[in-house]
Amino acid sequence: MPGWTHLSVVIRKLLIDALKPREIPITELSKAICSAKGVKEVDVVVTEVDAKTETVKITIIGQNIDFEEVAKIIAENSVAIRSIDQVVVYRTRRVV
Amino acid sequence: MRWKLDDLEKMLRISGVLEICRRYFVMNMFDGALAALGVMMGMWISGIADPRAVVKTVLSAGLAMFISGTWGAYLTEKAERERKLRELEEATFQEMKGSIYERSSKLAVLVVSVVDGISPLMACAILVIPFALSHALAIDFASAALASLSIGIALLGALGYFLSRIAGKRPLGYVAFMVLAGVASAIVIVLLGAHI
Repeated sequence: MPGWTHLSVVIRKLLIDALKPREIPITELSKAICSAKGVKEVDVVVTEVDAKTETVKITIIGQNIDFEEVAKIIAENSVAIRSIDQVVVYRTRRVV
Repeated sequence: MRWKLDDLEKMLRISGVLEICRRYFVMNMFDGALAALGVMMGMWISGIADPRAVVKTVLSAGLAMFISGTWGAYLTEKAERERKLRELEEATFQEMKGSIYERSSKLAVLVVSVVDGISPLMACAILVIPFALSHALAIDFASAALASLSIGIALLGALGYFLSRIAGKRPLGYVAFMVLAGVASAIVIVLLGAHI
């Protein structure tokens, strides 16, 4: 009902360790991730280079990051998530 | 399989197909131009002075090269791309089905096979223009053959110029080598006709 307050936990920051094909440019990847719902800023750093792949650290910052959408975009860009190394969440009180 | 137009440029860049196409285009157009010149000169020295026969023969050769080029490039490129995709899946421990990399690979196979097939056909089609128009323009067979030979040499020169632009070098060497190939094949055919 209108006027009720609702407590919810939202993701504000994610640090993802991922493996991507060398042909996929990090500019395209970061722009694609930044188009996801709730994402404000994306920072991609290449940490290791192999013959066919590159290891990247992806930092995603936003007000309410939709992790499912982010994971889907990352997979669509042929990038494999190896681990999630950092998560920052906030509990917010929203009027619904 | 739905490809958004916005993604097209991205996929072409990821697959690296433009560079491969550039190479195939020049190589196969060169093949097509020399084959067409050879067939025309061969018919000329054999005494077949029928423009319609030249048009049919050269276009048939062009179509055969189109089919062989498309088929061959499709299968070889498909095999190479599938191998690369499998290796990448093994390296990333992730299935690539539906990803941009997989879609780029499929697009690359299509684009490369079309370019590979269509370039020799284009060369053949360009070279038979004087014969196709000889009736309408009321020009004799020898003039049509000379015009076609000139177009062929000019086409080879244009390919040489294109290559020099790719290499970032002066065009003279590339153009000369290309034209030399056309002139050499014409001389060999003429000599063949004189001695057989």
